[in-house]
Amino acid sequence: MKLPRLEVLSSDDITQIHNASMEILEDVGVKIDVGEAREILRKAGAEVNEESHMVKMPEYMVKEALNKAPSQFILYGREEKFKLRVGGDTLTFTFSPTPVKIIDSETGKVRETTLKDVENKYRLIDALKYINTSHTDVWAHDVPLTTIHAYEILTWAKNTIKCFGIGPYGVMASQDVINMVSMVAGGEEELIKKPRIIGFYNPVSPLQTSDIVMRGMMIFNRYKQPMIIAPEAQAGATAPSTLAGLLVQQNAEILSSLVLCELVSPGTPVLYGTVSTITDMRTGNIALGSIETGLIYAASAQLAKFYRLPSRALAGTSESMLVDIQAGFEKALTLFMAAAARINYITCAGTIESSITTNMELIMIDEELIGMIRRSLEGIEVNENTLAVDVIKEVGAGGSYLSHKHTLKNFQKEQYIPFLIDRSKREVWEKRGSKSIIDVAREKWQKILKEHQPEPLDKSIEKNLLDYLEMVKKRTLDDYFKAEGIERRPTGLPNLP
Amino acid sequence: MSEEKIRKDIEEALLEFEEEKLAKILKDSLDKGVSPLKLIDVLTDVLRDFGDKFESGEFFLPQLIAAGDAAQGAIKEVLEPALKKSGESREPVGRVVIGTVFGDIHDIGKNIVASMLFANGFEVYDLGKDVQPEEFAKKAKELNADIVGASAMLTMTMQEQLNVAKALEQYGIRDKVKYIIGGAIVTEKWAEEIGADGFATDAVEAVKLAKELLGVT
Repeated sequence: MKLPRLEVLSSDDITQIHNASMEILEDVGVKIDVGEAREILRKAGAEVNEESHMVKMPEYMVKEALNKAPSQFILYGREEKFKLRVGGDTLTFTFSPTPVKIIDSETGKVRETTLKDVENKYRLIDALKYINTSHTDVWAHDVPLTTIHAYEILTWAKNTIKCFGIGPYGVMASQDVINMVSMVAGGEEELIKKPRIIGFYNPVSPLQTSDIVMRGMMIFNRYKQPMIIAPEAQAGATAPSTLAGLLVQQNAEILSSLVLCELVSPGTPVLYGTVSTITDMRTGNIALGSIETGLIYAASAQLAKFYRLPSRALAGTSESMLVDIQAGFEKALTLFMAAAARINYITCAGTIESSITTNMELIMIDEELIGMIRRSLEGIEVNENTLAVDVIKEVGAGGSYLSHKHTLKNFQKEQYIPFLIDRSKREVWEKRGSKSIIDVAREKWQKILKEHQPEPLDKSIEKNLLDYLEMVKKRTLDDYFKAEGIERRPTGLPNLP
Repeated sequence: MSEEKIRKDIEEALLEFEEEKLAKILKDSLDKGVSPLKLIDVLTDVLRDFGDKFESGEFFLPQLIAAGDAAQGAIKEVLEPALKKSGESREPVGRVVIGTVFGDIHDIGKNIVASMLFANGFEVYDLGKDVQPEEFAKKAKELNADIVGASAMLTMTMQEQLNVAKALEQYGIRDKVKYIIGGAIVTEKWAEEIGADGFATDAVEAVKLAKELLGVT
């Protein structure tokens, strides 16, 4: 049988959490600063306080939204032939957002990430087997803030046929994302029919929302692009210190956002997401590598299943500053717990330092880790072929299975064959240069980047994207604020460089 | 009542996070003729001791913050009015204006820093979250602040820390205050780029930085 789902909540626990979340939504509500969103929710039955911006929702609104939200969806890559089904029993592993620093493989020093790092990441992921999508994960510091999304889409489209994701950072940037990815998809209608952008929306715990990102989210919704709703609640700081209490609050935050998404665009795919974790009580910092984080993910997977929604978590994370043993076990444990709980969409690869620092070697090591974890979920298959009674009889006492047909036929299915881990004996390992897994990983990614040629992007699409980028380059940051309707500089402070 | 006994009682009340009990101890002491300045001294000394215990790992953050909040409440409610009446005045270690930048509503980190600064004898004016750059400058000018601290959590809102620096210049007080920044993604390089006087990655570092900048030990 396959590895059973990791469960940390009983069905009674789930009912209690659900009821508690409904009580929070009805009695307290969530703070929504976007007037248009409040109006949509009010018309659908919410009790809105226009002064405090608190929006209270009765349970039937949640139920109606859940009836509209699909339990699974297909996310397409740049090329239609690359597609991922997300939901049900499917598992997808992706890069982890959003590192702003990188441990440079040449110097070993930490530096700011650049557009070149973004390109390297896309090209590498294009060649990998298990890491299947990449969001706007690596921050390009060497291009102006106002153009970062446009550069990102161009770099994605040029370097991989796999899927793309990005946060909906406001009205103007989100519309740019839709416009540019539509060029890749062959028009807006195609984009709506075959979604290519997985959005990421973060309610701000406790019970608040970011107005800029919510406006952007509503644009993605209108084009029916799948949306991850993932609070990053910290038990003991921005959520109750008890994990059950965190789950109640997080659940209310996710479901209230879901209600809005399904009102803006019925049937739009929404992922029940989480980046929630505990507060480290010595520093006040987040602890994404903590074992409690794994418990939160497992519980979130169960709640998502209860609501028949696809699930998403950030896993494979560590607070370590180094690619070291702490990074190894924190990553392995959180990733294993998320995967064993059958979180459908796991953003997990390539980071340390609470996901703000990346490293190319680490991406390779995570690919290996994902391979091993995927294998563990398959469990042990028992049938006539795998019981191998005839083979045991045939080989008999003292025989060898090594070159037996049964072995040749089955070993690649039964074993995960590592591509970094070296199982040689010490003498052989020494002769080969006594390389650590990090050395091997470095050689591998460098070789891939040298040899792997991503399927080229259609020249006319590339030209359209480049033209669009030129248009975006002419904007100032204030143009973006104006699009949000935000009066930003009452005293007329100068523009940013 | 001996100073030692007062200190012990205050410590006990703070350990239990009992603001009312603390207020009663302070009121009783005032009635018995202990000066409000003396009481503030004792209170901040106890908090400093808690801070040391926090740094050595004996105390945890929630305990420190709760004790700080209780002390802050007692100073405002009981000791400051008494101080006013007595005509004495109190010189804080330094005056800090702090807030989370415009467009950002993440304030947990900023709250911890504010609380720790208070526990270390600073007078802290907390502007809250989503604060326009001008608000930092206006308040700092009004209060004649020594330090202005701006927190940003997001890559998108980090830019606002530069605008706070600009606002301080516009208000002509950039040379008069030390400008410090913080937040999960803030780096030394960024602090240098925007001409900040320093940055810290956690609350303990922030207090050290603030003291260093003002030359306090």
